[in-house]
Amino acid sequence: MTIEQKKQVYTQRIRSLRAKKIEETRKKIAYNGLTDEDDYNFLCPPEGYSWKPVGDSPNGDFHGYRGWSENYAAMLKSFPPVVDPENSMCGNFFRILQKFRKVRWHECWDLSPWQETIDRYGIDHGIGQIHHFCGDVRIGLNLGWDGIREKVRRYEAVNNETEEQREFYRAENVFLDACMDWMDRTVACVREKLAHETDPLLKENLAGMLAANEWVRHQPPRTLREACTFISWYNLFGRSFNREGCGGQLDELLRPYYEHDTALGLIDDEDAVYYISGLLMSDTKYYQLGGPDETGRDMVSPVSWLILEAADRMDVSLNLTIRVHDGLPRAFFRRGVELLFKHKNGWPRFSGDQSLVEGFMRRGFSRELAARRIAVGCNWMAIPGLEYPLNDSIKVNQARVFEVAYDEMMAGPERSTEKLLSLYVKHLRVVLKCIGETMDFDLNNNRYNDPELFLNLFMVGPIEKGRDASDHSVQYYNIGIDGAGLAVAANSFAALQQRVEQEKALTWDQVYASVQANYEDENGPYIQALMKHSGRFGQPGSLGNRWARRLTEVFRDEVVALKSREVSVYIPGMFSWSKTILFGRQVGATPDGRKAFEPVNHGANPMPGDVRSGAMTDMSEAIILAQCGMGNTSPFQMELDPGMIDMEDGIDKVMALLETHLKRGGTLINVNIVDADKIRAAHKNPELYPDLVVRVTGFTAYFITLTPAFRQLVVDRLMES
Amino acid sequence: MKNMTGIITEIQRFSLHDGDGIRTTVFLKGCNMRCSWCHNPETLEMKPQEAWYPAKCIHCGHCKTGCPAQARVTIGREMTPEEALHEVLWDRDYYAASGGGVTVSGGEPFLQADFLKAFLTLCKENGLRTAAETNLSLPWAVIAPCLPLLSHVYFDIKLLDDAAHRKWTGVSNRTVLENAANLAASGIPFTARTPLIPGVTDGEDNIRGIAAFLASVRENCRYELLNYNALAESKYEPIGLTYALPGTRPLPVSRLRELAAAAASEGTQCRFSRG
Repeated sequence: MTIEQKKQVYTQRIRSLRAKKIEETRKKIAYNGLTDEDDYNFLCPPEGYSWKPVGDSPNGDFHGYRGWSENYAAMLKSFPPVVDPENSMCGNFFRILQKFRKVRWHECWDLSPWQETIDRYGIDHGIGQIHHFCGDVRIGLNLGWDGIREKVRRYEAVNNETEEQREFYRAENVFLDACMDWMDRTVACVREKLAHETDPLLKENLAGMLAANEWVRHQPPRTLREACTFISWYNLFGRSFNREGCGGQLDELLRPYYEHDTALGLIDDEDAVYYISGLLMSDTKYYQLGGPDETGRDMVSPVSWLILEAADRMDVSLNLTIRVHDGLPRAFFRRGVELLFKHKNGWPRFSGDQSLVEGFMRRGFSRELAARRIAVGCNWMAIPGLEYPLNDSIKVNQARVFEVAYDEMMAGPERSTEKLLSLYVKHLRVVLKCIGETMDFDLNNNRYNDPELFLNLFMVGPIEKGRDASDHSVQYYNIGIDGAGLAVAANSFAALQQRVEQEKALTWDQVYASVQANYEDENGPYIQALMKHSGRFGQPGSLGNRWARRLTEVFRDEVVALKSREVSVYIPGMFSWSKTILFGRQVGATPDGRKAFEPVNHGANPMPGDVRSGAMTDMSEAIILAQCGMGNTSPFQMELDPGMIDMEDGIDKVMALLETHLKRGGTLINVNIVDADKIRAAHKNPELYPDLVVRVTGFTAYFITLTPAFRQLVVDRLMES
Repeated sequence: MKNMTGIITEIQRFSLHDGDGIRTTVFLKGCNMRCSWCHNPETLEMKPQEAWYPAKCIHCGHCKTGCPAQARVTIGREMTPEEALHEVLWDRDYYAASGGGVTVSGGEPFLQADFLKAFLTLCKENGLRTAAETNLSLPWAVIAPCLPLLSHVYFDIKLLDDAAHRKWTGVSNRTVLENAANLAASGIPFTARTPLIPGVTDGEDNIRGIAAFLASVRENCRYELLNYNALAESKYEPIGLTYALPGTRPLPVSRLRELAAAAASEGTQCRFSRG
């Protein structure tokens, strides 16, 4: 085949895989119902499929090394092998074991020391948090599955003093046995399909698939196809086990194999695109592209371009982040922006190297280590293999902290925004103390609940020490704590200061009475309008902006000051994830004019409607004020008009916008290109738009898979801009 | 000079259609023309004025102390050149990254020539690139002093026929054409524009005539055809005006292409915007 013919064949196959994926999304909704999550590319179980885990506690949940390993092994056995002759990779799964769990923690645990505080403030606390750290897939690429097995056995022989250690290794062996058995059954299926395939081109593909899988089943990969095959299985194991979703620096992971293959003339770029598209199709994992390595050299290589090329041809939900810094090739940055507008799928997004590195260094780490802390999650960074941050898991509802403080102040004689701030800080400390204590509990107990049997294999420490990653075996425990609802709290402070203290248009009691009545008392609409139209977060030079900065500094300082028995480094960020609705439901009416139980703001963004000009630069300025500057993110959820690139220099303008935000202190930008008509139509008839991908928050998802409440929230946000 | 102020309708950050790069557009209030299709009717009057949005009214009865729901708002504010500069400097990093800057628009910005000159001088002192959008209908003596402070001028020639120009804008086009020739002679970069108003300015003869005139004053000059924008209609009622062209729709892209080709054939670099 000429390279042109090959391109045609591969592109046709990728299109076909895309069509099947979209159809599968439809089926999954019918089977699993709606979700507010990523699309993980798994399949609908076959008809009659009915596997259920075996529980070990009264509510039927399973726990610990034994519960997870044995149930995982049983679940994998229930999966029929999946081989699609059009795909360059094989294997897929039907259920995620973690999703069978009813409660995040062990129901028999006594949470009473913290329960009242958790309930009072609606804390997303530390107990029972899982994954949200990044394995170093290089460990596996270097060892291969047999090498990993050998490593487990080697350390099993050394660390065998306690029953807990023996149980740990036993579970890891059961886990590996189950994974290898799944691979073996899939390889057998490939062999069988190969025997029966009559199309010569598909037969050739199946033969390549078989050879790659047979090799990778035991040995470290040598070629690009083998490396993609290894990582594809890595993705399937992690995701099907506990929903683990970190990828890594994909261009650098694959570069040595691509260089090997091309030097030997084994593949051309069309083959590379085809293999990479199979890998990307295996999971919506979070991958970073480009950015400086530890020496400052930019990591964009021909492989980075091929990844974008594969993503372009696939046009599906993906999570790719381009790390922006001065050394990033302009052409690569430009291509990323072009694809963002071309497909309107919310990828790639863009992280700011300078702010992230300087922030992490401010928290006491070296520049080299900071450079290794890459985008591997929804809104977050981690050092693959070395760091256990639980990022994007633990969250403080700042709107609720405000509400508790406000109620306390109004019950006493002294009323002022300074008094309110002192009470806000007091209650924030109560929340953080609770988080510290629950983290200590978690790090001492979570191995009995949700052990990290998959990620342990790809971290430095757990296997070597015979201890779970959640059990002090990893090098860095830098626990992330995110604030959420900043805009509600900041606007409430600002509205009280402006209307009550400065203008004296209302009294403390008048506002409080109306807030308590959810603005439905006689003067409610007037008071609500007055409070709502005060100087808001998102308006340049406003009191809202000033309070947002002040509250961000308070949050940053309190989180940095937090120390608990097991954790000496906590890192602040500002991100709600998709919990804007949930956090809103925890909070009654607030003095910013928000009615009871309405959603809080998304991430670090102002409340919808508050950037009255709609100017992205106003929005950017506000979100920079919400940066904690310690290495974790306060992402900018940016909505742009697709018409922007109709202008002669439209792409340049977008690049300047992104780059300037990141240079001014921004950390991460998630972009949605708003095709307003399509989204409006899809909101009315979602089932007619099964291929519409939107960036929900830090992740992308098919619009059709979102719950109606969440669809509405996405639509409101998008329509505003 | 110290206490000089201008009346500003609005300062719009992240402006993408008023020149190169990312810009801030300063809309000055007041215009000497009365174009029937005016896209910014809130800028016609020089003085600040009230706008009324009844749908936002919550019937609280507090109108006299300032509408809390912003159903009744004042359009226009008095600012010193320094205050205006302070606001436009907010986005200077974006101008630098994108090759953008500040655009003064209106209304007709040269109606406030002293303020304009003072403001543009401050912009220049602060290293900002500047552009002006003008109808070019004021005397050259008013316009010329500001030209050294501008990097680019955008001006409109709406109709070549003077009688039609008077009918639809209330003003003769004689000064506009003279000033366009002066501008061309001055060497300053400019872009001429024609808003395409169906049934008024979108005749091929009009476009060809304007293009030929432009080519006669500057060879191969930049010329933009701006498609009709129907959004203006909703701006009239809140300020107590009646829109003269209700229900008018933008031209199809095929027609825009035809007109742009005709203008190009007369010797201009013509582009169009879809509106």
